[in-house]
Amino acid sequence: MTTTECEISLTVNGEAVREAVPPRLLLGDFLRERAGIAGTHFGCEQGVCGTCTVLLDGESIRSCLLFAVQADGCEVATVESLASDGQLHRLQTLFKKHHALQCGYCTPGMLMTALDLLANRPPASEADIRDGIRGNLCRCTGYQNIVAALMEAAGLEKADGAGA
Amino acid sequence: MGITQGMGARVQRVEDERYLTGRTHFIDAMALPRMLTVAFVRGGEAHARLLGIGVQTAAACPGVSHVMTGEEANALCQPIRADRTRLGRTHYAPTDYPVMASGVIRHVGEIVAAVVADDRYLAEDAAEQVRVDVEPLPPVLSVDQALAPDAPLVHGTLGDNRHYHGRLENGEVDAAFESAHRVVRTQLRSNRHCASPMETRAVLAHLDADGRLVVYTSSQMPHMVRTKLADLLGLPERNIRVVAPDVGGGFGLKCHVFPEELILAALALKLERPVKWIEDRRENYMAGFHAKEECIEFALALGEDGTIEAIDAAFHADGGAYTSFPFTPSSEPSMAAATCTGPYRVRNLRTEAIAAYTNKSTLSVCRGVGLPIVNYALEHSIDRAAAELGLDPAEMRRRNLLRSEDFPYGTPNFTLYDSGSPLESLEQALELMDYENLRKEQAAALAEGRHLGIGIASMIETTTYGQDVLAPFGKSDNVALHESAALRVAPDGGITLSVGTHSHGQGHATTFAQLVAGVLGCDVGDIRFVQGDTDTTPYGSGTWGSRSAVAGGGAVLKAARQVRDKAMQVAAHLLQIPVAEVEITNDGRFARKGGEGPSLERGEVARAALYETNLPLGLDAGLEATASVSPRSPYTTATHIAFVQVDPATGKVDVLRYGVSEDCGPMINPTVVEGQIAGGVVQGIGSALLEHHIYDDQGQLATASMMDYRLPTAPLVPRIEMAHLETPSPHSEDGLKGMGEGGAVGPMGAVPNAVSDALKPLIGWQPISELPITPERVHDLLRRHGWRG
Amino acid sequence: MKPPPFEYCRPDSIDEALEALADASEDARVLAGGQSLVPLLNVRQVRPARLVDINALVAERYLTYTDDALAIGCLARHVDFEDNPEINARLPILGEAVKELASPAVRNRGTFCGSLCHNDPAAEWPLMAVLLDARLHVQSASGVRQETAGGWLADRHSPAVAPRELLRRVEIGVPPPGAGWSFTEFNRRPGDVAIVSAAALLTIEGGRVASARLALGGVDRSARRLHQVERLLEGETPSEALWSAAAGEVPALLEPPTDLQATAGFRRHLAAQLTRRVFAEAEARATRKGT
Ligand SMILES: Cc1cc2nc3c(=O)[nH]c(=O)nc-3n(C[C@H](O)[C@H](O)[C@H](O)COP(=O)(O)OP(=O)(O)OC[C@H]3O[C@@H](n4cnc5c(N)ncnc54)[C@H](O)[C@@H]3O)c2cc1C
Ligand code: FES
Ligand code: FES
Repeated sequence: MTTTECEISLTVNGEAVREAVPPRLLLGDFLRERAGIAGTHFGCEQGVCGTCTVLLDGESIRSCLLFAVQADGCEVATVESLASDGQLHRLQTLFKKHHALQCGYCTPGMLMTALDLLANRPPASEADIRDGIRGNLCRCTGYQNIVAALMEAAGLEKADGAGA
Repeated sequence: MGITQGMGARVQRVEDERYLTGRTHFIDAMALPRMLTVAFVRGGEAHARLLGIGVQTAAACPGVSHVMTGEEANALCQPIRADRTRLGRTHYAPTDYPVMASGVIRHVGEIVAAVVADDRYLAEDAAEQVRVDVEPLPPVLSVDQALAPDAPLVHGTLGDNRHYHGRLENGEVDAAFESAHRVVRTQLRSNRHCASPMETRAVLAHLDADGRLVVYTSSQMPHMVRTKLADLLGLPERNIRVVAPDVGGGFGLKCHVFPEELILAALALKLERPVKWIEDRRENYMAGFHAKEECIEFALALGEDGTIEAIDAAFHADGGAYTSFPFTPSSEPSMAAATCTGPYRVRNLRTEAIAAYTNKSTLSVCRGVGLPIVNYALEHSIDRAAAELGLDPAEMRRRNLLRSEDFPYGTPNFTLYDSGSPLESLEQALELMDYENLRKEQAAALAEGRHLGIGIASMIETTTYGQDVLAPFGKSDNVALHESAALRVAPDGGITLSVGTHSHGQGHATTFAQLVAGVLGCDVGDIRFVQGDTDTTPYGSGTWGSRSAVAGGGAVLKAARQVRDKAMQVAAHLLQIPVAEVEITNDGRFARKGGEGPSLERGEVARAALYETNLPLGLDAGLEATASVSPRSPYTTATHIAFVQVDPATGKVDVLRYGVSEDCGPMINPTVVEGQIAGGVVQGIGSALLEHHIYDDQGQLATASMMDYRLPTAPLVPRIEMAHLETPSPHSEDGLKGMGEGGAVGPMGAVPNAVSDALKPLIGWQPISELPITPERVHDLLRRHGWRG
Repeated sequence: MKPPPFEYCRPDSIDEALEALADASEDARVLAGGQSLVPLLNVRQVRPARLVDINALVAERYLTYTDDALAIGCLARHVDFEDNPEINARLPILGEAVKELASPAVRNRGTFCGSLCHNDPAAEWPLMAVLLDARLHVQSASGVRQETAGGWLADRHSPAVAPRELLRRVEIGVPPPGAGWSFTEFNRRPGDVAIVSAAALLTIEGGRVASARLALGGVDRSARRLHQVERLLEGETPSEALWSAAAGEVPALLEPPTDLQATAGFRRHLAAQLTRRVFAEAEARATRKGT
């Protein structure tokens, strides 16, 4: 029992990480500031905006609402885990194809949410997709092209995100 | 390749990969050795005399390096000011905006101290220990209260609470109202709004090896920040480097110079260590500037056939605590007044615009600046007029809208609309949404007890904000209105393009490269795009006001053409043919027209130019050019149509469909244009239905989190349908126009119009007099007009 | 927005957890899903001296059924109710309710019991707990006691935390077969905590209402039943008019709060509207017996 540092070991994007952390350190801060994996952002620190979403043992979670100590012994996956051998993940390719990002700040959280959605809550319609990303705010795209990318990813009828 | 990737091509964005893979340079990802973190202590009072600050306990907290208070900060840094000249009779009373509260706290987000510690956790621990002694003063919390004769003064040194007061009268306004067939006079209130980019503000300041000040800031205008840092900290501007790296959205918030940027710079200079501040969302809502809160009186004088004979409009903005820089609380109401005839033929006009100081966060620009307010007031008035005259809203517009042949058109506001297609756009939007069928669907639904409504909003969007638009407001004193681009071709033929604008989502790395590709016949992938670093980019005022395509893009085109012309001369020399005979082929080679004979790669031409092998006499070495343009303001026209369902039992409004016809001139990349429209429209729907910053009666911000300040989410909005017209501007490079803001403008008129239309069978056409349109407001409106369900 | 310092422990057994709660010199709190507690910590609105993280107690993550009840362990997460065939067969109203709850990432962590402890007045699970007469098993170092949902929730402010106690398990009565049910909530955006929520259960026998239950959220300090309205309906013939009459009774029985989202008056209005809707829908779902 301690307020001072706790020793934790976890896997981040397949690599083992060992660190001593204060219990109050949020997982998102741990990733950026201790593990040097800085693609995950905070937008609200209240669980609302979804920008901080990462996978914990394969499920999407808010890294602003989990303490790094709680990830001890777990596998964490961030946006950095998606591309491999210089090849973009299919979702990343579809985001690019459909112009599903503008400033890109929400993108890591959106991608990790989408991974969970497609794997664990397969959407059957555009409405399901919109509902599945309701916890991820994007201030730039109006969601239009994110939805279009996810429609294609889910093998649903292609929403013509590219407009008219 | 070049031709297929030039103007008009739906090229996939070249900048996407780093965002998709998380290899970004947002400031939260940056760290420097020995870096410290800052947390601000904010006043917490709406209006109070600052009696003293106790920092001893805080300074002794673990990990704390320094606690800076106003006394120290204000000695190191001059207050921010936005002075203006050439304003004529307009009343303009700017404040000194000290970087930390000096004597008086004027809103809850005002900084009173900065705590510097090893990390943000420790900095917040210590910030809690800072003791702030205050004597509360009566707060001013609305524009009405601010303008009342006995109002407390927000700034004691000013005679009253007016920041800005402008008037204009042109034509026979009183006569037109007296002889009008009908007068429609409406009072409206628009909601306090904020840009809420997903990335909050962020600053990292340090001294480099030469002792120069380097400031990374999440800004839309790095050069303006540099100028102000030099000015207010008393440093030579050459010894400052400002970098706006990846920026997670701006929407107008980040086109200001902020106290936080100055304080971080002062701390870096003092402590000689890197200091970083990442704003949290609570600060962003409390201290980031707000927008749009206005009281509006809007009157139309109408002829029998629905012709608008005159407009009399007053815009009173709740301006908040201080004069921001370079844009000030005057921007909203003055731009609203300056554009309040919209895309209509109107001869007689009277306007009044006031911004008053209040004890709230400063109100400044946000996507659309004034235009969303006008769209709400004007378009809602037009629909009201149509209802009162028994005209279909589309017909009402047909009778008043400008047509393409009316351009150029001089407005009674003394602005010149260069070109556009308001009437054609209306017709296109009606077709896009199949208006006639929509009306049938509406009638059929009504028969089943469902209340659907259609709302049209026509609009004209000021873009680029050149001298012609801004000079009358004296704004050009503070902000560069030109843009520049520098283009260099390397010996291998690769191109580096650097610009003074700043893309933070707009896709300039792609669209600007497309402009170059169109001129030089290269691939967008051949172009390295550089922005955001004052050391490596030409001076410019950045990206705001839908100016990047016209000003920045214009400069890019000009620079590219200069380089092409020179390359042609070199190529002609190498090919030993007349310059007039040289052309750039589809694959970017220099060859004799018609394609016969030898041809040269761009690299060969560049090497000849750089190594001066055989360079024609009189040509400077190298293939490079820096060009700038100082454009006038082209206008973009559009029509928005919202199709909504209202549940009268609960007051809930659902947007079922939404269509936009937009004419932004030739589109560099339609996919990017459509992305901007969709994003803008959803922001606009948010303004109309959800977003609202609310202060309580003590001046505390009640909506300081994303739980309470509600942004639109994906299930709340439909797919935005779009159609385009492309009328080129006669006075910009290649006819380009701006378009970044317009999407957010139209919903402010279209959504309220659709709601009034849906409720019409129940209570007649009634105005929506306040935004956002909450369920409770709809419910109250129905009750007020006797509907009980 | 960073949490204040605290002591942290992650016990491996219930006993250890109860001990850690008991021997804390100051305020100790259970950390379950953290989806309500951590947002409060991040704005330093609460400052517990110690957090007792129960996430290692994996045996407590269960939904198990007896003949007439569903038992929910203290680590059962919102996600466990999603698309769950057994839930959809026996307690479909829970499957409906979870769809309205927050967003996928929050549902992946947040717990049913944590929601009852946090006791937001408009949250879905407390509403379900009062509607379905949940029994709460509360455990501390000094023993176990049982509470009814109504009693537990009405007693507590939000956030409701029993000092040194653990809400270990909740049992929810499965409604009789054929009971009609309905849940609805009114909010500004899908997934937002409701402004007002309503849920009803209805059994119909011999063409008359045999039993009726009505629970409302967002209208008081916590979710509550409206027994007066329920009694009024028993023995009556179901009809639109009956539901409207029931709805008409609701506003006068409520003292709802006024806040940023809605005034008390509008909440009363919504409560009546939703009451009518949930009864009408419950009626449509009810199997008529003995006609
Ligand atoms: C963005 C967002 C949106 C949300 N929207 C909704 C919504 O629409 N509807 C809704 O119902 N909820 C919503 N929530 C809250 C969410 O459902 C939480 O999961 C829930 O309220 C609390 O459960 P938890 O397990 O996360 O509890 P925690 O956050 O871990 O704990 C909450 C409180 O209960 C105490 N506690 C928890 N478990 C126990 C226990 N077993 N015994 C004793 N004390 C305990 C804790 O000490 C703490 O005081 C939302 C949350 C977020 C972040
Ligand atoms: S930062 Fe975690 S949800 Fe917003
Ligand atoms: S792309 Fe900018 S917030 Fe989503």
